[in-house]
Amino acid sequence: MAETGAAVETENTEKNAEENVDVPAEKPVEEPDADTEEKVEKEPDAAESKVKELTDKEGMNIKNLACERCKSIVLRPGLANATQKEFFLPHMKVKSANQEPNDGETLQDFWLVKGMYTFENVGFTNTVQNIKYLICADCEVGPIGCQELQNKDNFYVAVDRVIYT
Amino acid sequence: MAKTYDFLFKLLLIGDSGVGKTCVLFRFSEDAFNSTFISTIGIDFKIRTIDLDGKKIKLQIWDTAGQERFRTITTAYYRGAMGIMLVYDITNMKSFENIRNWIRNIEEHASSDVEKMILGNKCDMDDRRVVTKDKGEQLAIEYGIKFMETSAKASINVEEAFVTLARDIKAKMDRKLDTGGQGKGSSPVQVSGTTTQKKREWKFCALL
Repeated sequence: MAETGAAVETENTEKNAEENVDVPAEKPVEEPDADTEEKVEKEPDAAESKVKELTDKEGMNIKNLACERCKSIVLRPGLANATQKEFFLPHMKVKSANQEPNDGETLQDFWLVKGMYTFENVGFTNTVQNIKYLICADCEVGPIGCQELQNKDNFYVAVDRVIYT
Repeated sequence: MAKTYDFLFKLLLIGDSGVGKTCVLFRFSEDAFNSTFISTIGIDFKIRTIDLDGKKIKLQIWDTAGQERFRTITTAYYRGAMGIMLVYDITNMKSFENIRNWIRNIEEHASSDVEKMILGNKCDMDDRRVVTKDKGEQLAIEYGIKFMETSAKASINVEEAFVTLARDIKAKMDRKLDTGGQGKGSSPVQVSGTTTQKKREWKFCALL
């Protein structure tokens, strides 16, 4: 049945490509300015230790991944691999009054999830510019992650956009 | 990686526009927690996991996402669906009356053994109710299908409805296996009673 699921995905990708929706293009990561370099160097260390605490020897998640707002369980333990990868994700929260829908940030720490049926509860947005974003299935906050362009069976959940229960 | 489920059911939400199929969708969109990005691009479908008698069931749930306005719901949309939620709004009589039309549409286009359920959605507005619970029940009895009133705001009722529908689908599958069908237990969707063979092909848009 998983195979049928794959077919679903492909068909939808074509069907739902909405031309008129304004979506962020993939932005290159900005080069840090010279004077911020030191700060930037520190951040990966903090992130690294956070990921370490959340993973077992094989790099798999040891806790549930859950929605930070409604606590809905997104993924059960032992099903995702901690991965370094760069994706631009629009903000989940309104951070300033003049924030545009497409404003966001480039993140580096993700959980790699293989196959859409591996998730416990998750929502998928319509496909825009070939990307499907992941949201909480219950309160619909997001994006908490996205689908990989090249391999549609790979899903990435941002380490900093979920809580651990 | 080990398979994380025992069964996979594809469910559809059908009903007039504005009956609250997508009520849940915009539940929280007003507050500061949500940026406008998600509501702008819209939701395609959801995966939910429920437990039924110790079996893990994955539900893949699709919404018509407004296609019904254009009367374009045809065979393509129903293909492969094992369960259909017929949703009306208890504050909107027309949406209730149209349930009959939707059932006719399903009979015409969907697999004949698809499990159905009627949901009277209230989106938390009991003071504006125009369809009594009794009327909803009567309609369901007439068609021999189950009925529930739900509130998208208290989403637990919605979940109960999905569990009920999933249980009926599973019971139907189990019966088929018991009566020694093909014995393979591969597909719970059996196309029968129709002259045209329906291919398993998926062309859907969005969901609850």
